[in-house]
Amino acid sequence: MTSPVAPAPSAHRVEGLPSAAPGDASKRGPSRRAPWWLWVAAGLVLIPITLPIAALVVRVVGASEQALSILFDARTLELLVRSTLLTALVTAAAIVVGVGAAWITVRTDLAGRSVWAVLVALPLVIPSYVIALSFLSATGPRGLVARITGAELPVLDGLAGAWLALTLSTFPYVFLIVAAALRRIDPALEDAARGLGAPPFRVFRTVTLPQLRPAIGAGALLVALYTLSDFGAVSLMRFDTFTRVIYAQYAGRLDRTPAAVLSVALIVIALVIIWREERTRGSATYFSRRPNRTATPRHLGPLGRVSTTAALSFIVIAGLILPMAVLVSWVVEGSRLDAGVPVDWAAVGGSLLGSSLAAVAAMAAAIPVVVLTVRYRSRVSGWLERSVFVAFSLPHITVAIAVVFFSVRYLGPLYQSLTVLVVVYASVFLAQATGSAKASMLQVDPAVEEASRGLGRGLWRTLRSITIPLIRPGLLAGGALVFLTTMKELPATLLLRPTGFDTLAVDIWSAANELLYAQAASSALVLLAISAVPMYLLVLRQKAGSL
Amino acid sequence: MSPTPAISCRDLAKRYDGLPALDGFDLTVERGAIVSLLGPSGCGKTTALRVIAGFEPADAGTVIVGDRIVFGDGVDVAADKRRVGMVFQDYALFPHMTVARNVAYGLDSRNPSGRVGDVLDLVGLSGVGERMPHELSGGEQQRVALARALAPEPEIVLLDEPFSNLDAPQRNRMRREVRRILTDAAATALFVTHDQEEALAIADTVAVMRDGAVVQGGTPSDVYSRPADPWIASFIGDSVFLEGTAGLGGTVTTSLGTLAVAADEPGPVRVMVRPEWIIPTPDLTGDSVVIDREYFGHDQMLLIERPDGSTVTCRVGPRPTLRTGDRVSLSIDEAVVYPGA
Repeated sequence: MTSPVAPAPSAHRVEGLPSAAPGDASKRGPSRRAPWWLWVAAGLVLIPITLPIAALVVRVVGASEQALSILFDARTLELLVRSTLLTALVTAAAIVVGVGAAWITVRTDLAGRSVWAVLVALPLVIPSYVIALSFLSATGPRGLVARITGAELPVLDGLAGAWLALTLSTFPYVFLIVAAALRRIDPALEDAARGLGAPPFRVFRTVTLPQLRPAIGAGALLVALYTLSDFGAVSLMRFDTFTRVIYAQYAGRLDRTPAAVLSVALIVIALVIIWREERTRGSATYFSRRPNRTATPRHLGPLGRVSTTAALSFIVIAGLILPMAVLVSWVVEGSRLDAGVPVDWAAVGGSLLGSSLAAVAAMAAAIPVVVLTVRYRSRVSGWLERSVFVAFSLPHITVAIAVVFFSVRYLGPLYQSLTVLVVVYASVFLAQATGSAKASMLQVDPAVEEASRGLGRGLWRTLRSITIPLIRPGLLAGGALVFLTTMKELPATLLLRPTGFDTLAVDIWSAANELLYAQAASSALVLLAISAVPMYLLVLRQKAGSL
Repeated sequence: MSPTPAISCRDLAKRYDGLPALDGFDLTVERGAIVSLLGPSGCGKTTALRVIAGFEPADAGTVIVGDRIVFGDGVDVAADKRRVGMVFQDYALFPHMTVARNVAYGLDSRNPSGRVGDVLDLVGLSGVGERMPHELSGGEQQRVALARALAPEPEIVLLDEPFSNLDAPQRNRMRREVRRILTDAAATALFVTHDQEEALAIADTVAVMRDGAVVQGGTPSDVYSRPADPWIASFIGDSVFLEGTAGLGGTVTTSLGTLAVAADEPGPVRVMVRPEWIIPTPDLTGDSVVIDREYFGHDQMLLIERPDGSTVTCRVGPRPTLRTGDRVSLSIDEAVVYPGA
């Protein structure tokens, strides 16, 4: 549950096109400068992440001799190969599954298509490490299957396990983006191709697919970024990628330079993907004009009906039903054999506290950013929005490493305090708050704010009495998203949490590492149950909005 | 010595991406006047309003509101300190506030309730104070917007295409209503519109704008019957242009006869007549023929062919005294002369 709900910094570029006649200024934002205090507020929002990362880079460059020897070490190159391999495999599989499911649910007359569309997207709410936990705890000598039936399945871990777990938790990105694009494609083009004598598959390959390419590309880059950044699933699956090794180096060594060097390397790789993604995103919106009518759904014969149903069922079972069933069985099994599975209330409290504080902080921080990017469009405010997005897209473990180094050296008493943790949560997930608040802000007619100015209220009072009340729904939805995402956050929490501060995510991860599967499953179910509340509110809001 | 005008703009200039939106814009609005700023779309009239209100800075020039320079000479008073009210094209009512809170917004919070009631009475909306803006019709929203702008008693109320969102019958009613409200409130108002009929009907003074500057100002009848140049003549109302020659002694000779109007100097001129200034008389020996007729109910337009093959249109009363094919002779009542091309 990350990037699709994040803002698309370039998606609104069309607004910059010269449209109105030069004298008709009514649809143009005010050309006045933003007040200084807005810039200061927005600057403060960026500092918690940019400063530590800059310090990290300086530190690595300062130790360049050691840095180079670490970078060109055979083990580092092996890491690069493993990370790249996993990313490529997951991305390819996510494209196949996502595009296939999108086509079935949008373009065929399969019964219950809209229900399938929801079910297929649902694995998005399950953190990748929970899916990994369910596979690990079901297989192997100590797995659920062995425990119940006595028959031992080979343990599903390593590359295969990470591949499967990450594919299931990321393909919904491709699915959602491609399904939306499929709905926007003008069916007249496909009809024209059919009319010129092309058989259905050729139409799909030569007309439909090329139009879907930007959407597939955008989805694929998201999946790639997610996979590269993932820490929980690969670490439980014991598959050494950058993130897992960075954590091991950090946790297990006195010399922390290797962790710093590898973090900077991972940041660079991620930046390349983010840069590519930003560019594709711009072109993906090229197809966003609405067609006059929707395509006629393709009629499925009996064979088609059975095979598409089987394919969708497989996805839903593997990504949703099986993981849930395994978790529930563990809790049942645990309470039957052992002395019961207690809910870790300290972890529940920690999760709720951290996530609520993060949501509130992110909502507050989103206000200056959104006002600047919507009302005072300029090159600088464009960069501001972009940096918020980059902060969101960077692997959390690298951000956490940077903040750890920075706070140890410069913040003294704040090191491993709840304050630092909440500030990092809020700045990393800020993009979710700004994305949804921006959507609200774009609907606020600037004339309403000007009316307030004309009636004698200054900028600050206008902001307080007009703008903020009007964007409140968007802000709150953004806050709910930040809450959801913070609940699931693992690597930054592991590195930055105060001693004795526990969250459900940390609890799941450490219990699974110690093979205490019943305990991990219980925390995972509590996590999913708590996440369901804001999730439900967000879905309700979307429904209300689409009416 | 006349009293201080409500606003006065001097030599305002403003460019967008190098394209001029205002260029030598001068305008003075006297206290209590209702002025319309009329021009084709893209002529800079909305920019002028926004610069006066303080939503956008001009590149050069001066804006004076009352006796205070609000822009120019290094001064740039913020929009909220200018005492200029604005009625926006889409009304821009605060959607999250009741009508009463909308109207009270610009008042000091000390004791607004009396004033809110007074202003709502003035616009004919007593009793809707607790309703939300979206529960009102377009015309009612317009009244609320006007009430909100009038409540703090600004030096001037600016109205940006105020009737463009209303349908035709509502528009005519609101036009009269807004004029009544402004007059009752003894307010000064500056309208922006591209609709010449609206501009002539509502204002005491019309300022015609072209390419970022005011090119003519005057009473509606002045602007209509004495347009300062051929462009204004064609922009406002229907016009017929004739070629003519100015002679000595205040006469101009045209294909429709010799007219007793003065030209600046002898030589070729262009003569502008309004269709209702041309009077066709039924005349069996006349040299012109009615070739087409458009009937509008309150009047009709006749298309008349001249012996040289050219045509002119003239507006006559609704009675069907002339029909297609009738011979007529033409005379001209009134004319405006411009230097020849």
